[in-house]
Amino acid sequence: MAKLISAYSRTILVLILLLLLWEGAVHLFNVPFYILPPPTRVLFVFFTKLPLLLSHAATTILEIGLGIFLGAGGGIGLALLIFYSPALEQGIYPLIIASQMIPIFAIAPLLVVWFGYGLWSKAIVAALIVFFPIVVNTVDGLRSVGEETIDLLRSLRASERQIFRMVRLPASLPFLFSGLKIGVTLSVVGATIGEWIGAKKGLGYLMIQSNALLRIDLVFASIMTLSLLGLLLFGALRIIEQRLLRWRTAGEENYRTRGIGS
Amino acid sequence: MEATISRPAATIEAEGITKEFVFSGGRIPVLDRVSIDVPQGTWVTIIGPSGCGKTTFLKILAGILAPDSGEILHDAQRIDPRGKAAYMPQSDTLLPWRSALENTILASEIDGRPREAARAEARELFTRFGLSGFENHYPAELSGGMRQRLALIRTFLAHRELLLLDEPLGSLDALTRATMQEWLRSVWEELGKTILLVTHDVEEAILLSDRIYLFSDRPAHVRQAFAVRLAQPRSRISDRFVALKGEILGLIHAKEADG
Repeated sequence: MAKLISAYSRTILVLILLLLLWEGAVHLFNVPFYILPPPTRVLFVFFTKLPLLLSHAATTILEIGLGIFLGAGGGIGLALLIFYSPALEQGIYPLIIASQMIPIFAIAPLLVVWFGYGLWSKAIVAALIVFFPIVVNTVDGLRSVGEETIDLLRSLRASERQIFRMVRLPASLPFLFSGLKIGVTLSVVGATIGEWIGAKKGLGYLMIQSNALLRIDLVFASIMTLSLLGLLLFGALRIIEQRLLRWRTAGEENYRTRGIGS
Repeated sequence: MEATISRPAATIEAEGITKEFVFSGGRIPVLDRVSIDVPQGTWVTIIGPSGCGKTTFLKILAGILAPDSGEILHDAQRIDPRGKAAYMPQSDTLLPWRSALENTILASEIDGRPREAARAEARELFTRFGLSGFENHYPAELSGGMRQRLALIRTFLAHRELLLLDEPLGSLDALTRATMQEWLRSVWEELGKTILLVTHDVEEAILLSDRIYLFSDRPAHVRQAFAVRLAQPRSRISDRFVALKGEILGLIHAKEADG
């Protein structure tokens, strides 16, 4: 934690300055708190309403988790199919890319009609958003293996399965994580929008309700919770990535020290 | 010119290998009836201008590419070369996510040999190749010369009789390269393998080989074969070394008269 704070000390400093500016402006111009609450009030509401926020957050987390699971699972599966079947690649890949021109938020109301006000409509919005960066990155990752490496394995009579397990899978992991990091961030947005359109619970739902009641402080507290949630997910992914892909940082450190030496 | 070279029993032969690459814009003939012999336990080197098809030829012997015509013989028997030789591509092709040690047991893993035995064997070679202490380093943490030696360990540990080396020292600086040449020769003598080396460095060829094949420009054919009968260790400045080097360089620079 201390390491984290020292690494981001400048960011934290800027953040504090901005918050101070906000706090000062609200008091200086006498802005009513139901229009723009000062950060101290948002913090106060955040802590006093923590049980309420957490119970809504639980629903949103479930939606995001389910969305990531479905989106990543489907994305990885389709990436494998696209990679191993040229016919599928020609038939499907352009369509997948074109489908990204459809704003997912525009079809979110349809999803609510089809899948109801519960968990599933939001999970599917999140999944649709996660899906695309995973497919594209995983396909790129599977293709990233050099021809000479494949030649080497073929000369040793490695089967396609061995080539996949020994080379293509590990080579595509960094790409997969890049996709996941983009996807996870976007999935928070996806779930929230899904909740705006129609929900019985969740942080997006809480925001809409509070907004209607001019409880702007609670809106800000919900936004804060959502941001923390996104950061937490991103951080967790970074930790898993660093554990799993230790070889990448090992190389970087070496380049750095070598750069100084020579 | 081949008559002076006797042929031992177990020889790997390439007979009349022809290959052309066909693509949408046309076709490029790469190899034109190339025939060479690689007797067991000897070091044979192919030299030729860059882009002449040496790598393609090596890939055919490694079984990665199929020739349009011609065949590979072992002990006068026609064979499918796939999986028979240990091939070392031009770039070191080490897997960046595997430690140095795990990189070298790649072939054992593919062949399904027990891993612990393979590791133990690899550790011995790490000592022999001057890499002990680096077993758990990732390839990115090693210098160019170390990576090349690592790729060589991997090639030796493929447990194939014939090693196909495509410019294994090509990416190294002149100084490291000279050291590695001496070292490679001594390692080879100790381990008793058959080597087919591809290089465009004439000195390297004379220093290391028992026999040299000089390839022509693309489409490649064998312009001449040389038996190198110099005692080891060879000196780059001995009269016979310099004379042979002059002869080969003269042939390379002279425009082909023999078509």
